[in-house]
Amino acid sequence: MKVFWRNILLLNRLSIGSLTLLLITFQQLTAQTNISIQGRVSAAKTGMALPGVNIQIQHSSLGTTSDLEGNFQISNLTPGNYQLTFSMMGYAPHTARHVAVVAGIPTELQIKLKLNVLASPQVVVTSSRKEQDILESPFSVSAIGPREIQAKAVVNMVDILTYEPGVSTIKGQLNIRGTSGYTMGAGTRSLLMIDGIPMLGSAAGNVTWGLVPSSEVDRVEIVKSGGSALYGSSAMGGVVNIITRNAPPQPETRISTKIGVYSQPRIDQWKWRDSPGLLYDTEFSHSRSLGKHAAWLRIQQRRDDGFMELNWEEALNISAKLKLNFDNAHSASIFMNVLKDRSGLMSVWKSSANPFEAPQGSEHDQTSGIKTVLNGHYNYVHSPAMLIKTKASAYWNTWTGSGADPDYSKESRFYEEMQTSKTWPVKLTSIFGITLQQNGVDAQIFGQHQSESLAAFLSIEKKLGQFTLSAGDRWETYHVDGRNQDQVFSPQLALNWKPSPWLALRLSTGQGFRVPTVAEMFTSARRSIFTVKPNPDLVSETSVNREVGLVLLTGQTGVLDLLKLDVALFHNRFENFIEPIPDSNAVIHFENLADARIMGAEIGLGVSAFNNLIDYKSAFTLLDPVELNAAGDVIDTLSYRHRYHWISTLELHYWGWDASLEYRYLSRMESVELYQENDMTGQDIRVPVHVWNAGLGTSYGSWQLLFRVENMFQYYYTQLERNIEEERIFTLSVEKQL
Amino acid sequence: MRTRQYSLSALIQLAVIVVLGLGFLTTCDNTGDLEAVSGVQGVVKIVSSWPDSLKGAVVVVFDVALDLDRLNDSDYVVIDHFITFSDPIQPGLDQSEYFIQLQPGGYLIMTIGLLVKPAQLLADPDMFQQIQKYIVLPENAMPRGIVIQKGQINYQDAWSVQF
Repeated sequence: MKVFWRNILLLNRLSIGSLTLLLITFQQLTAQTNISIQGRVSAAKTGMALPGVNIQIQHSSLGTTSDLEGNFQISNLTPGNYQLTFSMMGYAPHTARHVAVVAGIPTELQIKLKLNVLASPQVVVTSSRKEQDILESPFSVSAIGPREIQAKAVVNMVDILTYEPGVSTIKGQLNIRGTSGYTMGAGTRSLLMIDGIPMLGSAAGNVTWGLVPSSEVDRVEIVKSGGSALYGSSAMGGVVNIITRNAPPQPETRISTKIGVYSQPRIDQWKWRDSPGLLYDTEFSHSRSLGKHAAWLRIQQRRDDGFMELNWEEALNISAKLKLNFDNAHSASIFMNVLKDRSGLMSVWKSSANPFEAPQGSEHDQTSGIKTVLNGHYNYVHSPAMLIKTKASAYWNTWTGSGADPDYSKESRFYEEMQTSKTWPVKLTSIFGITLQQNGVDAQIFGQHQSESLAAFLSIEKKLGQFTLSAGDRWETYHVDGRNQDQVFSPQLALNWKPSPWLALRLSTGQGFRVPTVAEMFTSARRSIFTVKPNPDLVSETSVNREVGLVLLTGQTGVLDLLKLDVALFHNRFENFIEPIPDSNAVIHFENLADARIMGAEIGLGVSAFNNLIDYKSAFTLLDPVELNAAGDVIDTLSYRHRYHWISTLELHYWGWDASLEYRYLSRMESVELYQENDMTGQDIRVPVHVWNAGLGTSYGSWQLLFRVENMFQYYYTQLERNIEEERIFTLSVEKQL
Repeated sequence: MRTRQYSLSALIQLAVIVVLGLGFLTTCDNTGDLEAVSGVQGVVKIVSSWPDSLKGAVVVVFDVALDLDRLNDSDYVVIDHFITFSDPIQPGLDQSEYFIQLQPGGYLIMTIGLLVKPAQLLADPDMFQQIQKYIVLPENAMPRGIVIQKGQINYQDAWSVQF
């Protein structure tokens, strides 16, 4: 414990030292001669000024955004040749090469951007903790852009993520390439972040999807290989980073409403309410510039009857983001989100004859609570080659459960991070950072516990001609209730070979780890006829991940506007794998299995053609998730994983109309833990998942309309035993921009 | 440039064939979704007080070959005729709904008291094999013969049980 607090003191000293360094260098910078690049960005077709264009000097940390008139200026440069990239959603990225800058004369640029409405972003920030061309990423990355997000007008981001290659959810628990399975929400191997800050619950490591302001999301990045070297525990199976948008320079006010009607079950036996369930979601958002700064505010109110008896939910969500642009060197942002919600709570159905009803005695089970998130970012460009980022986050969650098993929980999480990126003259980039996280929980089913972690990470990337070699390591120490739970090194090594501008091959290997959550160690609760008992002796699980992949990404070629092909072979070997296991007394403990292995292949194709008339995306993922004994022999299939996963999405954009058709297939789960199939009675039969969705939308002036039907063929299935999934819902979304 | 276009075109065709082919192959797994089930449903009323020795009760289903006269015979293997049982009725309850999913056919159903925790009996195969050691038959409620038809629920209500 002493060692831990010594580490904390050291961290504080480092933070103070860094701040002093920031102040000194700030004074030095402002004393420099003002050498700058300035100019104007406009649309190539219309000549209209483009505000909000992201302008970045390549291989440096310097950048800015264009103002309302499309003008920009980057100051504090040293004489030399620069390469600038101009990017904006809806326009093709533009690179200005060999921009010469001399002392005394500002360099003037006139940039014209061409329209390009590609659905997926081509620059990602999550896989290497820095902006990077998706072709140069050392790991498998999927990126979802605002067009895809807006096209579905989703209330819950899960509805988008489940149509991404290799991503699935069971009861909201995120699964990337089958790593998480289902652990009753107590522990996950896939990390969710908002703007690069971890957002998992402090006790169970679960995801609260309601905290994601879906209509204010700029893009979502999914890194599918082990992220422990950069992001630590819980990232061993991948990372989902949800990046919220910055307010545009021009004022914008939007009012939108979404009304949904759930179908009655098509099987008469299952009908359980007289009138169809309804969904109302109303949002108001306003964004504007405040001098050099900009902000948005979003208020959302939701009332959802749910598709089954205890699936109802009421929520009020207020979120806001303030982006502070002090000057070229200093910027900051503050993100705030408060969610007040009340919802029904259903662990299993009443019976297979009444799958939409709650079991007798639990009809009034519900939870209510308030969750608050406060995230802060401060970026300081120390020099064109050096960027310092600091992040701080606080999260509080208080909820109570009432009904048959009253419950309560108070959670808190505090997170701090400081990261320095430095570009060296020899095409070498280094990223170094330290993070500190403190979690607290006081809950009826877990008890009262504290955990802390301190980590330092280093990542180095070196370009060698067509090759990019990256190596990283993360050291992390974890304490639970003052006891040193673990101290881990997670190294990672990756090689990217880009033999042409449109083709890249990648190879990576690394180690990952995950510390058991408080929920896995200390849960003491009853679930249906099963009891969950604590296991404080759980040890951290570790993994070795390997991936080899290929990405092909081309722009305009013939009738094609975009082609993206991503192929990956992956192999993850786990030790001390933590899974919930029922014993012979029907008592579930979270236990360390001897070993586990999840390997597989993924092939994904994205095509945009005929001047963006058609977008097609399809991906197939094959998994082989098995439990191994100490000798490495396969002894069982891991529970709650689908072996085959296929998604296909077709979008047509014609005459201002957008039509979409989505299909999702997951093969029948081969193994579950609680209720096995009974051939004599037909009970607990498991079936594959075939779900079809369709949508039709259009814009008319400042109005936007979208009609969607989800699970249109009313396909009924379970993933978790005795929990029926999604009923068909028709929704109409109307948005008016004021 | 032309070579690149040809190779791209071939690659696209190959990728489309592979992705769609794999997808269609796997989705041929067309076993259908969940359907209306058949079974027996009702309410059990416990009209007596619960003896301290009972840890719960269940509605249990046997095949029609069960010899009711030999239930207390130690040589008679009751478990050979066992089909399934309902979710447990917790001690202290005076009534409980039940539903048991069954394939079409004829069955015997009865309510029995359990001398061990229901979950323990369910999870322990050895204990389960000797189920008759751990059960108490009600004093008043005789087994009922039922017939289950496809997609139909057989309702067995107003079932009063006294231990």
